[in-house]
Amino acid sequence: MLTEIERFIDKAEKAGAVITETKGDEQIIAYLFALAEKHKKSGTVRLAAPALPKGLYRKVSAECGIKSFAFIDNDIRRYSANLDISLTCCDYGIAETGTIVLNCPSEDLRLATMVCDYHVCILGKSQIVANAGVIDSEMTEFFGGGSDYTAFITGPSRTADIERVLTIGVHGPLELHVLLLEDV
Amino acid sequence: MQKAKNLKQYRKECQQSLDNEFLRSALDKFAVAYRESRANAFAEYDVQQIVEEIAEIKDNTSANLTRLYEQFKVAAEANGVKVHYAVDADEANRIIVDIARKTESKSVVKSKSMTAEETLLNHVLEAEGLEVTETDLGEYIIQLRNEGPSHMVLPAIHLSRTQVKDLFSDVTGEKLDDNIAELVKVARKELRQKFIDADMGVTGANFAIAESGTIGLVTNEGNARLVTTLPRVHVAIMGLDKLVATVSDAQKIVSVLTKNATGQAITSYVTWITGINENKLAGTKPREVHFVVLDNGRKEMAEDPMFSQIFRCVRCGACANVCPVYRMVGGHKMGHIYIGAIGLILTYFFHGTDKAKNLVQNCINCEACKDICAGAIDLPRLIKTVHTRILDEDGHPLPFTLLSKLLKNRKLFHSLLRSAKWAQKPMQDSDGYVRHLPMIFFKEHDFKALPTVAEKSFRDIFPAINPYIEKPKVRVGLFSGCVQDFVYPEQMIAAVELFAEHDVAMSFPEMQSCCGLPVQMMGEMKAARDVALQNILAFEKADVDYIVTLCASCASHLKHNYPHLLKDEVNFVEKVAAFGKKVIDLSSFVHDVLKLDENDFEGDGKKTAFHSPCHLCRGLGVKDSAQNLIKTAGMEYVKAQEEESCCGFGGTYSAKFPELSGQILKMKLDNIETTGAEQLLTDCPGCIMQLRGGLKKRDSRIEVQHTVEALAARSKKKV
Repeated sequence: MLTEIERFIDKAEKAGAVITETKGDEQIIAYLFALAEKHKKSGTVRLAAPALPKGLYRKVSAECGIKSFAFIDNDIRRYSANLDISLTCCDYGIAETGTIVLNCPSEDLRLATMVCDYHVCILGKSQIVANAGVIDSEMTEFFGGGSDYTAFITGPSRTADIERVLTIGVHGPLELHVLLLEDV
Repeated sequence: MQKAKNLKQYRKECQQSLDNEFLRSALDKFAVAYRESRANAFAEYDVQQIVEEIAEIKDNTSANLTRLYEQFKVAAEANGVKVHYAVDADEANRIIVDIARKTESKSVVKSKSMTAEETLLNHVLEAEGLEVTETDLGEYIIQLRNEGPSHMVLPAIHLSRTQVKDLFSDVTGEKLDDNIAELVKVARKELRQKFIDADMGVTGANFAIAESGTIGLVTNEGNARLVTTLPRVHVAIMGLDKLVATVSDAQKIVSVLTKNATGQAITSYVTWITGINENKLAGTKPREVHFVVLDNGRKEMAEDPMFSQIFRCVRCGACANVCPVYRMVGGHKMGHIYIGAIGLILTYFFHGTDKAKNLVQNCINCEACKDICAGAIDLPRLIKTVHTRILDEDGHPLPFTLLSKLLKNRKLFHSLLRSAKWAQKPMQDSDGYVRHLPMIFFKEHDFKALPTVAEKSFRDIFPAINPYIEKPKVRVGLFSGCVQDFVYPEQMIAAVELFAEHDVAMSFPEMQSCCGLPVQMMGEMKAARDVALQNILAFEKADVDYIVTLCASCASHLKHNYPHLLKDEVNFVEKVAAFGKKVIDLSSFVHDVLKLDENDFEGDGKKTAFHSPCHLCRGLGVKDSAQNLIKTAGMEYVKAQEEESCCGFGGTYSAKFPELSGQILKMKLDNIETTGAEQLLTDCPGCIMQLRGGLKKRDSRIEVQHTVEALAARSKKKV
């Protein structure tokens, strides 16, 4: 029997996400910047991270300074046509489908997951649940707050609209990277 | 879209699809790949149980429609969303145009919505001077071509990469390559700017959750997320049928929708939107969110005891994916806006008799749609009922009316069939096939050779061959059906021989007639009821444990359709139930009741393929009895690809749509020939007529027999 974490990894990878286990901020930052370097195009790299915990926020923004990356933490709309990479944290992982659940009523957080080419998302291992039914009451709570935008994201954006050939990255990110954080 | 004025013109349009090689090969590949990926997606689940849950959830919607709508409206409006009720398509479009005017919107981006297709919203918005851009890749492509979708989930499945390349080259003014990944990049770039520039975003909704006023959107591309985030105004249009009570209900629908639609455990994105979310563009003009809930006949549908089950449709498109006719002609010929089996029904309700009258006849009644439906909708029955309603509105065509009248008079019908053997003489070949069967509805049938009516019918033979069984193990009444009675009596004779060797006492109630399926298929429900009653009465006095028929279609009709046909005959309800319980098909009877084993046969190892008739594997749910018997009787069973797919006969269907029937048959025979089998067995005389005729036309050596003939020939004779 697979554990829920192993099941999450298996299903998310089958859906085309890249899963990496990490131990803390340093490893997250190393991963993020290595990925950004790897896909660097000409011009300044634009990195969006609108809603990070304070400690991580400071470290990412400092590293952007060192690397001469543009660090964007608000008004992401302005960069909708041209954003390279984003770093976000999500609320839950669903093992049954390899899905991350991101509660994102804030426009900036929402856009950070939509308009970048590479989306890197941090998921605590303790946040992984067996199936979507387990978080029905949490979802109801999200929806009860007056306004809410909750996204289930499974792998990268995909289409099969031309000759049924699976093609990645039609509107959303070309790649989804999930960093599994050791928090148990 | 349906523009054909009459059946002849519609058939001509279908022929154009048949001649479209790209379409045919795309749909062939899809049909095969879909089954496999769906099976994988459901591998760890109890499909039946999930389908029952969906049916229950959606039945709750149709039963509590007004209450759920009110609850949804109150919850959504408490969160600042404006909820509009639109009685029909025109009103929905007017509401949306009005929103566009009031919000001074100039450009609109849309994510895919079948409901917006239903109301033809784009045309109305464009007439208003708005720039409308479809952002789902497939919808974008067909919008550029001024076409409607040809599939509910894959709207551009009818187009090739070359056609897309040409279109995109026009849009960009650059000469592009037909590399799909590159073409997708072009769309990404072109459309991203449209999202940024748009004032208004229009989406559909896959569900509307009453308790919280939340809508849910299921997409793979992520375009709906941009449509609901970047523009200042968001309008979601949805049918009343999208209402559900709770988030938990919605989750269950997502789970089945994606698996049944594309074989995905879940789509890349499922988005849940409640109230008015932050929009930094709003500035001086506030963010606005509107939900337009469309009735357009749905309320009436929800109250109809028969058609309320349409509410169980989650718009997964699976009924098209498995439809043998869809596979031949594609969505533009298999629907007006909504496609596939559900499309045939919805076209009647949403777009009227005129659009539906030809379409609704293009169902071969193979039940593949019913079998795959995520909500267990009895699609073939609903299609037939729509057909009947249209006939009742428009008048019944003369040949159908004549046949109905004829069937009511059993003696006249049977004496006509008896005399048919004389009428056909001048056209008969020496080998027992006719070139042109002298019947009005068998005109364009040159893809298969048709059999002649037998010298002597089974009903005239039986009294002389009915064996005396000293100690009967079981008593059966034989139901022959027209084809085995009058065309293939030898199949019935084989059954009598086999049964006699295993102490089965037999009777053949003389009063039995046609089962009535052919007239039901023509939409002649009155005649179907009349013969049903006659058959129930014919067997009422027969003291039998089982009613055995060698025709899977008859069996399925007697068992499952009679209770529907005769539900209003109060005095008959119990009799119908008792009758139905006794009905059994040949293979199940031999396999499950007689339980014959290897010792009962002398096998010869003949390489044998099986064609599983629609009404055997799906109609009766008999999946492997015949195949097991083939092995038990010492033949070498080889499984053909798509063993359970339709042979294209469909009774009167093959007479009405001979071109389509012929093509479906061709595919079937190709699969059979690939096995290298020397003989082909099946459990339905209609299929035998179709398969044998088709194989003869292509000079194949494969022999076609009824399973019972092969079993009787290998049965060990008792000493």
